[in-house]
Amino acid sequence: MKKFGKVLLNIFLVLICIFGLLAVDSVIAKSGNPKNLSQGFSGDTSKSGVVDNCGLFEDDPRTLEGLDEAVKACAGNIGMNVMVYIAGDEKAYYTDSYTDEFTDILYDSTFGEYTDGLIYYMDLSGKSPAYDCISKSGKAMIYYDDDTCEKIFKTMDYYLPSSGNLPDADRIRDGIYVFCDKLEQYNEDASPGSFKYEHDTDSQPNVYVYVMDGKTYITKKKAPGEKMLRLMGAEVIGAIVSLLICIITKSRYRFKSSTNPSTYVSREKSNLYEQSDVLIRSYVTKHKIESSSGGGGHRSGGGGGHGGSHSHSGHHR
Amino acid sequence: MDAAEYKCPNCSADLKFDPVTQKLSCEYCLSSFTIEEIKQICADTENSIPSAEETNMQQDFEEHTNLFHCASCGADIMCDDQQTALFCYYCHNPVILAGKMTGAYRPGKVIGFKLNREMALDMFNRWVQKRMFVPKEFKSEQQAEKITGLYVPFWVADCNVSADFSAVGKKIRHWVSGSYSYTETKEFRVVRRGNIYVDGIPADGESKIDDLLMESIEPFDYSELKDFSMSYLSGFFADKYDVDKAGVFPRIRSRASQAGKKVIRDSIGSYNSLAVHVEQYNIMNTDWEYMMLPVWFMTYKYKDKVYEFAINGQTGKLAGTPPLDIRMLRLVSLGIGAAVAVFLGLTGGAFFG
Repeated sequence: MKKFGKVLLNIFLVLICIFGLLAVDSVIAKSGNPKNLSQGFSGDTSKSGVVDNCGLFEDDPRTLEGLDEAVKACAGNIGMNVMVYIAGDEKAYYTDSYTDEFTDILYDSTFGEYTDGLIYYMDLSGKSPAYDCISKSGKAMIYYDDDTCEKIFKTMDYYLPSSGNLPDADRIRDGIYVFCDKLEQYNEDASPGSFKYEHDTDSQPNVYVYVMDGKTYITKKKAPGEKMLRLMGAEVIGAIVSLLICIITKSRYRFKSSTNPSTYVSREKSNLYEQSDVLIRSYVTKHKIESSSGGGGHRSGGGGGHGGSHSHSGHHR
Repeated sequence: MDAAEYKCPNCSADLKFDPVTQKLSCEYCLSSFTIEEIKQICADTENSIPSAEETNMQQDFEEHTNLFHCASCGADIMCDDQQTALFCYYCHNPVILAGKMTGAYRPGKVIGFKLNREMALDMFNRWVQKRMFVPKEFKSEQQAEKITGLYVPFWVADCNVSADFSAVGKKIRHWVSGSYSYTETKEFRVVRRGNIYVDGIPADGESKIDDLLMESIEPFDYSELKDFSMSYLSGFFADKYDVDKAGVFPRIRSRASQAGKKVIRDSIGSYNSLAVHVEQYNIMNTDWEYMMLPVWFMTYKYKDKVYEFAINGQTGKLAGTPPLDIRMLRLVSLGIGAAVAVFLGLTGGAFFG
């Protein structure tokens, strides 16, 4: 009974330590109050729209106008800046990374740094393979992660021409409407918590984007949730180290084994008068080796970071 | 009627006739013998009368050996009549003179100390230095002073172990030919029978000293065995046995069987598997010798537990369980764990960036 009480007391103490550490971790994680760089979304959709660099709708300005209105409406609905950039043949020499950089600069110069929004770069330059990308800023990084963008790219593949083929204006038009629908759909589906995003450009300091209590944060310090996880990870590793030290030390303080009594065997006097190993039976079994064959799979992804606070999702057609 | 006349050759207890097996069996150590076997074994030892020289030596032992008794732990300590034991080697409480020893406790053989006190202390200190979590008092000079040169009473047995082993061993070979995998299995009947002689298995006759501790400082070099003389006790203490050879026989039997098993298993080649059908190790005969073996001995009481430490006084082999200061260990391990956590927190960016 006394031992049981001691065990209970120890469990109680361990639980107090765990909850105490969690409380301390929480305080440390939330401390610091880093400056929120987020500029959010102004509500002005005038700069959102479609940029037809390709001249696809040159002869049909009303369609372009309609598309522009649809994108603006989409921007208003999702509360972010949205631009669809249709790249023409003058962008045919752009590499993937240069395309990323171009969209970042285009976004910042059009909507401003650390605002919420995205640019969909539709590659109709005729290069092969074509490279579409979505440059995201602010809240869009959280709402439209790589998986979501990949789904959008897959949907858009149906409307966009294969690499090297000529685009069909009607299909592109339909594609842009579908793109807007998808943006609205995924915006509703997204339920961001304390997400984090690490910005990985060499030229800029890391920027972390997260949504907490419905508010978007862009800071140069990690999200509290991320800090908390790292603290807990460090503490768990520290606890494991402590435990290992205890176990190893205790094992060194245990009694070592006794002398093996075979030391005392007198080999000269000992006599094995019967030693036999007689074969009593032998058998062979055989099994057919099952051959297996399979196809190969391939999966690749692309993406990188650039500019004030951007992320990219890229896709080759 | 035969049964009443014979003693067990292994443990000296009375043998009784078992009508079922038609053998004389020992209820104490579970040995059993046919009447022919026991007659043969006992023929050599019956009617042996102590010689005059032996009688003189027993008288000398009785006259010149003082027995001290520890009222606290019950230890009986022997020393020659030129010295006085003041403290118990085991619990360090004062001892009182209890009288003279009887000749029955006189050992036949002895191995003298080869390690003096300084050498034993040096070994102990080197052993302790390697362990940082022992309590401070364990490393103190007062503790070192408690190390005692003690002749520990040992029953040393020479056993003839009859081994009977039978098993089926399998040798398995795999190979691949074309699109088939082949497995060849060969089964062998493995039989081993023989007599294995195990000479000089010691078992201490002192119940207070941990048996495992004494087994850990073995072996002793019996080539240096001498006939017991009172002069060996000079400057050292000796323990009076409180476990007789019947009492230590189960340990001897277990260790002799272990040794026999090792011999048998070593004689068996490499089989992939071995299904044992019969494996018996019977001790057919045991020759005993009662002797004093030299041990530097120390005890330390820590948190109601007695920690024993021993050094073979002949070979210098040491063994013991060091006391562990669990509070210090917890503090140090928690400190290191906390340092690791802070370091990882800093380098992993949990605190900054």
